[in-house]
Amino acid sequence: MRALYSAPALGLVAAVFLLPVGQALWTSLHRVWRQVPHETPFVGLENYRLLLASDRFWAALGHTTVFTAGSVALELALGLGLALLVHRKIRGRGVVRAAVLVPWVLPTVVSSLLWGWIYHDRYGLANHLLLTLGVLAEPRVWLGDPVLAMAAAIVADVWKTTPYVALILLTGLQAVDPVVYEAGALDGAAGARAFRYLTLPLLLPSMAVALMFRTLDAFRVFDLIYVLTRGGPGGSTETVSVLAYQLLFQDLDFGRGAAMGILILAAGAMIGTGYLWALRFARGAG
Amino acid sequence: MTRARLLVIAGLLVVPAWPWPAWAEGGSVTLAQFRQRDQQVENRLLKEFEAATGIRVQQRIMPASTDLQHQQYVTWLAGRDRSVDVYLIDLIWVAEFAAAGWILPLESRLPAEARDGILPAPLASAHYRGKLYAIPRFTESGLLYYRKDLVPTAPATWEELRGLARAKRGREVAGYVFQGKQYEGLVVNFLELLWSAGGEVLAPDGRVLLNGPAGAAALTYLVELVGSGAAPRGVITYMERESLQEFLEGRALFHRNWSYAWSLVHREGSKVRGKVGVAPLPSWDGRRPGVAALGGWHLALSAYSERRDAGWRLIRFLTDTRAQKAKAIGEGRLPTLASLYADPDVLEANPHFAALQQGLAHARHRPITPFYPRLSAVLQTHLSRALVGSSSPQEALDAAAREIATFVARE
Repeated sequence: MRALYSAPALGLVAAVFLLPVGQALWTSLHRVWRQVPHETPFVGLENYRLLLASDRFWAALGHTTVFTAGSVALELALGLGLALLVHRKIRGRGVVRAAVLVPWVLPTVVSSLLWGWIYHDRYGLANHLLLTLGVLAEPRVWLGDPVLAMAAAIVADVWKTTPYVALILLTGLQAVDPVVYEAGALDGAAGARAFRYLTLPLLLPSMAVALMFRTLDAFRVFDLIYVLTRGGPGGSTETVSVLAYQLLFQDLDFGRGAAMGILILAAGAMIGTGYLWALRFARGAG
Repeated sequence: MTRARLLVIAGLLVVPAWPWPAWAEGGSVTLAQFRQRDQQVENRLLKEFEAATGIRVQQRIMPASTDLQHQQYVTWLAGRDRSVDVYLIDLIWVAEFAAAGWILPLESRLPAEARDGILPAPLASAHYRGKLYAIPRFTESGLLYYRKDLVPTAPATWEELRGLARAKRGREVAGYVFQGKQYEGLVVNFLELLWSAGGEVLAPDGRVLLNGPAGAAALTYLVELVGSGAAPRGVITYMERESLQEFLEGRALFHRNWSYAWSLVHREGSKVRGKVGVAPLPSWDGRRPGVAALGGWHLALSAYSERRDAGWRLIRFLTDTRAQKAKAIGEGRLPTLASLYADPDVLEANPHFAALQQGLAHARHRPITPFYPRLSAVLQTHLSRALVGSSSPQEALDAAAREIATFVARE
């Protein structure tokens, strides 16, 4: 009887998740080149083998890892700072809190176009500022260099999603009972010590949630990169999602594109499980 | 939210999906295309069509980005979508869509005398395996724009262009600005050099010839343009819009772009109006003429259309003399019918068309293979690698050729 009650939910999961994934899995085991529509032979794991044997796949995974690690680390550090700042009782706190969210509210495509102009070699704000401040002697072509382009993409992502991290951490901060700090002060934990021994441990669950969401999001990054660099220059910012898009919609290699999708799904599931496991471990230890 | 408001919103959601009764006599037909340069000119044409045939035309406006259009079309066609009848397609997709069985051969529908009037290069690009799959609607070819107030005559060879670009550039004015971002435009810029140098991407039997001596020379030239300062480093990040912007701002001596840029150069308020000359792309060796790439958009009939005859009538109407003339005069679009280049009304509105027609005569279409978008994507990455110095021109082309060989012969 109890199983019957959960049937609608299970049905929904099956319809919106299991069916498409099942179909992608099935497609990934065939050679489906739309240019050759009448031949779609079963090829087993061939699509996966080709992907895992290609430099391009590993390069994309490398770029994605650099992007994810760089942007999530910076977002967490800056987001924490921002959360602490707007948590304090300052004048106009409501306005500040709303203003902080603006970058996150903008659609990614819009903010990517915006950053494209910021990085423009002749009219861009980035060069203008850095030249005026004397940091640079010559204007840089930010998106025309493999290393700089990746850094530029990370900065744009950090700008956009730090507010989101700050928001999650802020809720965490507000959930802490002030009594804890009063008790801490009696025991000699104030200032930096209070932060280290009270705030951080109590914020750990919120941080884990923010980290997990952001890691999964950053790992699947597509629109920001696609609008900013199209995976260039020289493929140096091609992430796994950009590669999947390329395989599906430019190459019309549906089999390999589906295989790529399944691999991304598997990686996402691993990241998610990893975080949950680490969180449980940390709680158990604490 | 009040109940009344909710009802209005629900109504708005439902109404467009409501199966409207077909237009009194002729039914309706759906056309997917990007927003036209002057949508009013287009809408007037479609009204005329509706009045003349009784067939109602619905437009599906596509995103401006060519890649996003391709993605949307692929999604619809792979899903056997029956709601779109006529697609406006980039000529580089003809073979791909035809091989996939997504668009119908129009061989038997187009009368022979109508075929004879179409410019040969666009017509050839609408064929796949000897069969006609689309009707050219407007066309483009690559051209060299130059500042005639600063450089009196256009360079005859690419070598001369590089020399002039380096010698005459100044602090505020760069030399040569082209499209160097990792996207289709970079491939086009490279192909024009490759062809001018006598090279080919593919042999007729499907072998990859791209990494031969002509390819290496062409890519080396492109890389050295940037390395020597003849082209500003920023070109590595420019698509058509950004590069044209530099030229329109008066910040470049030479600029490669499609023929459509001409009308923007001469537009009221343009900073370089009256200071710009246009010429065919330079020669590689001073003997053979330079080769420009052919661009343009064709109309094709969906294989999943249930209103094929109505769709075909729309294609015929939009590619016929009357409609092409209206587009040429109203939007400055280059017609695909040879006769219009001698039409006094068209020439009055576009005095430069006579000169552009010569460029079109030498223009070449990109390799006609169902794998062209895939081939181009491989080239985009490797050409870009050479431009940023991640690999040498020869290494880049060898790597691209190896990758292309794995799929291109599997047609």
